[in-house]
Amino acid sequence: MPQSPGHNSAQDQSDIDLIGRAVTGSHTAFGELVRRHSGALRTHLRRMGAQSSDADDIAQETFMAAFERLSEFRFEGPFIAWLKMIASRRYLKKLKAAQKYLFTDDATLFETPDEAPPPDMRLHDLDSALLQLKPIERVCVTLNFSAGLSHVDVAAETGLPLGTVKSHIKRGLDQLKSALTVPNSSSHPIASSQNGAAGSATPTFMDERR
Amino acid sequence: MTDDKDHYIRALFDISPAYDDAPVFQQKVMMGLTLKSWLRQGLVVISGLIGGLYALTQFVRMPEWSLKGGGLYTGSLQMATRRTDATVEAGVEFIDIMARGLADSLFAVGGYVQWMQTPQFFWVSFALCSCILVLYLLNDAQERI
Repeated sequence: MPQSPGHNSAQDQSDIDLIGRAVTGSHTAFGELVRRHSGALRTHLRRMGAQSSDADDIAQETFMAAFERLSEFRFEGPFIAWLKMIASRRYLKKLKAAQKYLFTDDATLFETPDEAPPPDMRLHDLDSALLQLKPIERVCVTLNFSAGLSHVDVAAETGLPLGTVKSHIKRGLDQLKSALTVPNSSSHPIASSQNGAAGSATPTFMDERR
Repeated sequence: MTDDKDHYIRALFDISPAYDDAPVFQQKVMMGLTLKSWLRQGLVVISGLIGGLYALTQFVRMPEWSLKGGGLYTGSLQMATRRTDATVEAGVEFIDIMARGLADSLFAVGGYVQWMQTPQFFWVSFALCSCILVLYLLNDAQERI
């Protein structure tokens, strides 16, 4: 069955064009933006430490807030970075409102298991490696690496001192490097394309949801 | 070397897994947007109607109207048909009962209109509107990006 011209044109358009159309109220254009970026946004929230259902709820709220404030998007960076920023703020706000133990200084709450990670985790399994970090390290590292925030911005968003943020990121990064088999060559993994379509070999969160 | 490793981890962060329920999620977001839009438009329409009705009541004046009610529109038909035959009288009485009901309703409405023109009603509605406005602004501040 042939697809409608509108559907095709939305898929062919760039984010900038789609945002331009969505600002005027086009739900089709915004729907395409949701399709492209929902995977990356949901993954970002899970990597920050949100549970599956929470992550999806916050991602949904983020898209709805973004649609209403789309005119405030200044095209100073990628659209997904803006979405990640909104989602991160909402998640951190939720954590602070729930007074979760994330921001406490009691390190014993975050003790990680002593046993070594299973051998298969030494593959490029970032998500499993992130689970080994303390919650606060996970948040700081994800904000820095996934949302692309500077150390100063991470400190501003979390409300932590800059030195503490730097320590968390360094410790988290060291742990990630030891947990992951990081190649010394420049053979970087293939990043997902802008439309968020990952290859079939990429892991899914379906197991986690079940 | 360290930079290479950092770039490698950064690139790993850029990879997002495929979600089996991506179309369902997309549909959920779009339905949420549509629902919110409908709700907002519905609220605007309802407040417009209420506001318009309120403004209208401020201009309506009922001549010789009183909150006590009374026989302004009742009883005239009865007087006019007192001496006719029984069938016509029964019909007229039926119409009179209907008219009485209508008149009573009109009196009730008139009573409400009069009440809506009192200063008490103005201050109650003004206070309610202010509360709603404050709640709206608070919610807006919460929703700020």
